[in-house]
Amino acid sequence: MNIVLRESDSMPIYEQIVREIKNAIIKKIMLPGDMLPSIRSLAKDLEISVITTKRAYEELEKQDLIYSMAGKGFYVKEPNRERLREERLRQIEAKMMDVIRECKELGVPLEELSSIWQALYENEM
Amino acid sequence: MKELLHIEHLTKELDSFYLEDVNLRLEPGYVQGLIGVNGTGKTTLIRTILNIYEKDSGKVSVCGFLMDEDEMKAKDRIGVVLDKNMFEEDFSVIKNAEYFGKMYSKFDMEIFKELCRRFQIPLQQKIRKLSTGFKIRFQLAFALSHDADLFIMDEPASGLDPVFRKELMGYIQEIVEDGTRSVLLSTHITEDLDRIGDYVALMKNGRIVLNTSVEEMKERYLFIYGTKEEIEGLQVANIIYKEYREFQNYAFVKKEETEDYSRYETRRPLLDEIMFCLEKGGYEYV
Repeated sequence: MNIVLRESDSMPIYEQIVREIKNAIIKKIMLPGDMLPSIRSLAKDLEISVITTKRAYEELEKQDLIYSMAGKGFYVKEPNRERLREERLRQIEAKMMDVIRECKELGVPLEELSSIWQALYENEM
Repeated sequence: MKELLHIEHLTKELDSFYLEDVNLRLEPGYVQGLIGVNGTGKTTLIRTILNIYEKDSGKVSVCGFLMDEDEMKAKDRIGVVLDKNMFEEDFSVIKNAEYFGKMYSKFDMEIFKELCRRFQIPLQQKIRKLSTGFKIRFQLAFALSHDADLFIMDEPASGLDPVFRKELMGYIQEIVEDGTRSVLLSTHITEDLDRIGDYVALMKNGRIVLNTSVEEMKERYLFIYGTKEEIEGLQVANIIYKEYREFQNYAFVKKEETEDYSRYETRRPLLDEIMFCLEKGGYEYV
């Protein structure tokens, strides 16, 4: 797993870690049962504070993506793929909302937007 | 958990300057920053902790040893990296290590030599002849060689080039990595703490006005952006500071849990921005 943190990202560092680990789980780079790096070694590796890393792991635990075993460490849980998909769809919707707003600003009608979307979608296939 | 440093009601009057009722606790495994504008007492606090300045009242204990009763045992556990180093300037690196190493129960010359190799410190060079960066390296190597638990560093990064500064931050993280040792670090370069700092204490006029985790500190405040009119008419609580420019206007506020900020353009501040806005706007809502 490769975790990329961006100082320029408006998202707080702990949320960036959550995002990166979540993506690794979605993309099956990390599999259920895999052990996560210890909080302190990840902090050292990413050159961030222990508390920031702790916070990221707590958040992942809260989202039911990882679990901790006392004295051993943190492990990837069997993800609820349905829920992850729902969540990603919501993120996509938010991005689409941005596009829709910009289209309205520029006076692009729905038909034109739809055809752009269709063309791009098919091109990507 | 056993505390590595416990400061209670520390006061110290020094000419026109004073420390007033300073309290601080540091558990093993963390980087604790100490920030504040010039003349707020960071160095005085560090010197008073180390008994370089005699305190007027209050208690300081290190690893459970009271500075007033067990100073030798307490100091045995402390590694220092100070702005003005305490070593013999006219002795060589190795001679300093031999001489001062005797004062520490766990000093290990082999580890010291190994660290000097790693930090590229010339063993035969007189301390006086070392550059600022190498004086810092030397002090760090010495502190690491006597197996200290509490590392106290006063502005260690101020005279360093960016390369060694980054390396130093790596060493600081190495110190706390296994969770048994901690670092108390005063610094002007708050961007180092933005990343690797766990806790940060903000000093003003000889007091610690705020001590919290860096994460909490950055969530405590918010920048709100808008047009001049919007910022002027802003109806939110705890406005600390406003700035109007030709192309950018903002208000710096302490967040209120009940308030919904989503209708504004906002940004989380960095530590230096928090310091700046509190200094300009006042510490009323710190």
